[in-house]
Amino acid sequence: MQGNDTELDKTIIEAIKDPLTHIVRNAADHGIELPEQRVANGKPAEGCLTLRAYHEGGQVNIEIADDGAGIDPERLKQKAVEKGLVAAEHAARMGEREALNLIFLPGFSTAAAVTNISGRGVGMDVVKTNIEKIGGAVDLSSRVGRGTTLKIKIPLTLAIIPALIVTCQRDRYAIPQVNLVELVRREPRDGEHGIELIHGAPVYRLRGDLLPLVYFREALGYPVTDRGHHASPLTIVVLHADDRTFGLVVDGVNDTEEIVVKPLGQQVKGIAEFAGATIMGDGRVALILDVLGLAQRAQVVSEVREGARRESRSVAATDAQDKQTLLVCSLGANRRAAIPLSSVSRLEEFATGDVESAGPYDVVQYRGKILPLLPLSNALGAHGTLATGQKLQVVVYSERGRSVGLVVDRVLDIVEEAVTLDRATTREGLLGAAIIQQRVTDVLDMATVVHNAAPWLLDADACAEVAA
Amino acid sequence: MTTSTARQFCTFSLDGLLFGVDVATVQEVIRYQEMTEVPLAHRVVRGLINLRGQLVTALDLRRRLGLTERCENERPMNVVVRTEDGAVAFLVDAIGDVVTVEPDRWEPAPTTLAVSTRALIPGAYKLDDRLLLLLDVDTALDVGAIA
Repeated sequence: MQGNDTELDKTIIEAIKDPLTHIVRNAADHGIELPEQRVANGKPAEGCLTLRAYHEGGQVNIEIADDGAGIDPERLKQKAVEKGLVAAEHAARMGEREALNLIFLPGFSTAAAVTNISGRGVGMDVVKTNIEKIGGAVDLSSRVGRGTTLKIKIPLTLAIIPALIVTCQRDRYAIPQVNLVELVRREPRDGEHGIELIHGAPVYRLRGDLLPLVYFREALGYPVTDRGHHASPLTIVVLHADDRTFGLVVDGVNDTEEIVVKPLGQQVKGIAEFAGATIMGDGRVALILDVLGLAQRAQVVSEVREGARRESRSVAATDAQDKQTLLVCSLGANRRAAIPLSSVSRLEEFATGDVESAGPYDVVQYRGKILPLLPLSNALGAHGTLATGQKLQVVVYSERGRSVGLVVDRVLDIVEEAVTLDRATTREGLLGAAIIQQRVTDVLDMATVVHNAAPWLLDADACAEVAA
Repeated sequence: MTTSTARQFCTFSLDGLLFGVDVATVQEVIRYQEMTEVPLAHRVVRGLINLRGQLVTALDLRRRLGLTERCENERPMNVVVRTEDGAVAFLVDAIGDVVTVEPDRWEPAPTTLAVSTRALIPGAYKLDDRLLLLLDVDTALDVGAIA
């Protein structure tokens, strides 16, 4: 036990108490082998469980390490396939790290036997959800025969939280970043915003799924505005609370800020929609939204419906097995490429003026790191340099904590289609060609493309050794 | 009669009436402040004020007492009172003097006053020229009690 003097906000301690107990139980029960087995493996008969807490960069790290049997990624894969959590071919392609993360899937437990200490169904997914709920992260590393280390990163306090500032009726409101999924901005087409109604309840088609909408103005009790026709673009903040996703239609989105949460006075405490208030840089007060309260009050989705929908979706997913979500972009005048969305970590835009050089590569500064840029057409065999005089549209691909930016001419669309691949044109890096939106489009295998064009990126073992 | 039993009141006016609260409960008196509206709150809650980094809820005493609405262009003053749960500002029309009153001038509110109002105004002090109505701060703060 190290770092006993590491202090944390009381609210955080409340939130991590149960997950932490669960992890320690797991480590003692599943991690550490029986004494005979340990001696046979040349280890001391007594197991060692280390609990370490320390501050690092405004966060608190908690490490739970055991010197037990470790977690076998192959066994995890096998188990996940058995339980139908992942497809066999997907499991086969998984890296060690990805395989380890299978343990966090809901419904996953490797415990062969249930003991009175652990393995009673409260899975690691609950641990992860609870930690993430307070803005933390869980990271697992393990070596077979040597032990397992679980690292939890949590914020020091819940009193300062990152939040997105939105406007409604000229007032600003803060939405905690933990609830934020994405922002959707929709330009009107012929005065329509693409919002449909199910018996009066507005919904929006977001990549094929119906997203229930809540108009922020109405949720705040302002008079109902003209919902249908607007000349200005529509801004939807996609929010997530308690397994429900819904869209909040706001007047405008400002910036993200770190805000200090102040509790509300007794006269306004009872309002479910607000979690507190904060004082903004200009001295004005802004209310902090309680996303769960808002969702409940607006009766976004009843839990029964949500569950049913998910079930029907998983059935649909097995029916149309090849249906995938693809990012379509143009490469030069005549070429289109589609990238499976699952291998895209972000889309970014950089000014050509921001491009610098490092060795033979064009690079940009990105989130405090250096991001190498590769024109995607080069990676696919053509030759050329980065286009100048305009914004660069970049698809960021990440693997094992390293990223590379692939420059495309233009990101065109995101489609969800069951594509039929014509493999006649296949070469390395291409899964094949397909007709998407009436155009012949190369479907890329990102891992191979990046591996061929920038082998240093994926040579993670070499990098890890250098880093170590 | 000794002065030790005399009480001091911070006075203010609302719709032509003179009210007073015990000076000990008053944190400070400030002029009109910009405030942020709280949607969905009770109509007595007019907004939130940033008082040197402290979050203060502003309650409209005219609305709390069921008096007529203040004119749009009349800016209310704030009487900031200390409560167990932080500071709360009472919005009033104008601030008066701090007056010292002898307890023998006290008269409880007549029974003809509605019960709910009697909880807010338990009585009055008979000043030489007018009545000083005593405001019960705890009742005034309890917005949830309003029907």
